[in-house]
Amino acid sequence: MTVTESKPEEVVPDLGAAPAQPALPPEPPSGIAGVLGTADHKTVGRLYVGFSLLFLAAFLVTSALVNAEAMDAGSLSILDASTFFQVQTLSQIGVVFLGLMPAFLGLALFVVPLQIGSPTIAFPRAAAASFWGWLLGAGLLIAAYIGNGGPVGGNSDMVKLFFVAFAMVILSLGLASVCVITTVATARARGMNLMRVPLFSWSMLVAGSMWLLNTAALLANLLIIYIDTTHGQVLYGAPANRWIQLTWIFAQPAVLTFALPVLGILGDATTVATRVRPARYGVSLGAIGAAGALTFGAYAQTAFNPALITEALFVLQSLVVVLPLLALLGGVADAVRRGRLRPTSAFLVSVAGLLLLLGAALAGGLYALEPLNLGFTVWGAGVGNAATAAAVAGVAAGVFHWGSKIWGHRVAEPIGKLVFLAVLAGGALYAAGQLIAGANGQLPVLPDGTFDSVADNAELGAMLSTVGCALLAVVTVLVILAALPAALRRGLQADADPWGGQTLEWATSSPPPHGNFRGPIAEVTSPSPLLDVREGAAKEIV
Amino acid sequence: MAASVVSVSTAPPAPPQRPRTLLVGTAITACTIGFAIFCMVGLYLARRSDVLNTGQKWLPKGAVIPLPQPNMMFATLLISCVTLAWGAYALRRDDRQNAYVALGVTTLMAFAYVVQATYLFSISGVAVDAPLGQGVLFWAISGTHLAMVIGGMVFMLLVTLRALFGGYRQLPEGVTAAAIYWSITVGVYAVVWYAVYITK
Repeated sequence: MTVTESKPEEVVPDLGAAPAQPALPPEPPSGIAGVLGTADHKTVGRLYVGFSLLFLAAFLVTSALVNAEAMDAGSLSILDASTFFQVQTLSQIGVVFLGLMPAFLGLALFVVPLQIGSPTIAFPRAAAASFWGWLLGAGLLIAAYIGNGGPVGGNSDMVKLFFVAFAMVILSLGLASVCVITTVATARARGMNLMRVPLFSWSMLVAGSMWLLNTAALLANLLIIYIDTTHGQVLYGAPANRWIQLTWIFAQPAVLTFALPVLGILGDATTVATRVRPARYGVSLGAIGAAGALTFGAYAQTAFNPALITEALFVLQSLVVVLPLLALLGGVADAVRRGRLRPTSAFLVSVAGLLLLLGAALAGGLYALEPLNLGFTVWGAGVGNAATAAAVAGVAAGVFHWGSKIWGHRVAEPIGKLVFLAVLAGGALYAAGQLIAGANGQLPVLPDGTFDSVADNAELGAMLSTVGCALLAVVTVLVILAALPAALRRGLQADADPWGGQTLEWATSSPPPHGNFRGPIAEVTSPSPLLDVREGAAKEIV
Repeated sequence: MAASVVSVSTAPPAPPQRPRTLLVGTAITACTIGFAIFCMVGLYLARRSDVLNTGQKWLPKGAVIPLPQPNMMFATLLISCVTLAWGAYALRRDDRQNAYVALGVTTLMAFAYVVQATYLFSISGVAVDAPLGQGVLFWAISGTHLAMVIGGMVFMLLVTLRALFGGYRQLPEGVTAAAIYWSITVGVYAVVWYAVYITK
């Protein structure tokens, strides 16, 4: 061991010898060819994050527009009756499938191989194909809506294109999920068993698995609707029946899966913020796994079985999912108590994400209690809104935590504090508006933008939701603004390890070189390999 | 401010590992496709139960699902599992000749399945636009499974051709992955066979 005087930056521990790893794809060319033809997981991850943030901001704005229409329940003031439902469905699909899921997958494609000490992602070309397939599918999906398609559009060709494009988006995201899951399952550094996997990688393993299951069921729905739409429209493809068969993916419990990665991001951000070794790591892993399992929602298709929300399995699942989230909250509180808290943006924003997800789970538990009579009111939309806000917080936290690693330049950390306040307030309002209206018995808006009846405080609730949704759109814009200089390679060069991180992604330069690590990686013996190295070195110095 | 650069080199060189990436990725993909088909089967059973509860007949007028073809298709798939296991066994013993024969026979069995399925579809007379939604569900399930089988055939052909034209060193994992995919395909058919063809 050597101790020398040196400048403080770029302290990149050499982690010793390495096992054999999956073969690297060839070094990518530079310039446009390097982007279009790349199989480098880092480039693919950056592309996913960049495009999905733009989509997320745009569709949160349209979602706010849809909520604003309910502020005056008597009439539509911005949209007309024929476009209202189209914009509403596009907003729901856009926020989740063009915004949140690809943003998390982009972060995972970039970060997961680094966290587990792998030089690349599993199936790098498939990962690249997933991005281009997703982008093409997203373009076709929007084009289908513009051409009067969508689930209830008037142009039959564009309606068919909508289903094909939506399926393409889902298949592409599924392919990316397979790449991430396989990477965590097979490409871990030597000694890194599943009990030592970093929490974000673990949460992506759990979330990716649940996404695959839930979206496989959604794909089955889409296929059946598509076949019926093109052959007679007798039942599943009848215009009035199409969208209602797909809404379960945006409802409890499936909607909670989209926010699962925030749990892993919080775990990793907490170790950095509190500067202590994570305690009871197995409990954290188990809690994230349990939360994932309890958000399985492919069976909860109320279009086919409306009475399902009163069945024991649904009620039990809705109530129990709160417990692992409480356990994780307790773990964070314990870490804060044991450590010396440095409130990084990522930590604050991901705490907001956990609180919002916990709020969604609690509201979901109440939704399942039959005596409260909340079933089929907009209370369910409030649960979805809280989960969406939690996922937005997760994406924002991920960008603040790993942004400098991703782009090699510093992300504007002070903006993160503003994001924390905005996401917490925005998420709370976005959910509370619908919860208030639902508690008063307000039923969802009809496809033409009108209501069967307007409950007390329904318009107030819509106003709160509109403000909340607009704040979430502002959050996304702030995240883009914070990351844009780094993405454009402007500003200060990022350090390899700006946080004093404990996991392997901080053991390489920012951005990482081709192959991710300059030297081989030693056997991992704990969930905090970098902390092990530092502590080992400190003991030898003493 | 000064800081220390820590250089640590403690761990001995690790023995090489085989990542089994293709195997795990294939298993996840096949399970996902299988789950999508199970979801469709679930919708099929729910719809059939609803229709039967109203006192109507499930199969539309003029439609027939004979038993011999689905049974033979199942038998063909089961035999193909045996031949695939034979191929994997031969590969583990570095017996190329037997491995090629076994993989070839398995691909042939898969082709036989496709032929039988096509014949079954041609005689079933189930219209896609059957009034109670039976046709949509029948064709969605059987068509998706047929696509899964064809995907498995292409996969097996690729690993066999790769073996024939020089990529032999990578073959065992490829064949194991193909075997996993194929086994899941057969398992999914077992459910489809019972839920759609036998109980009708």
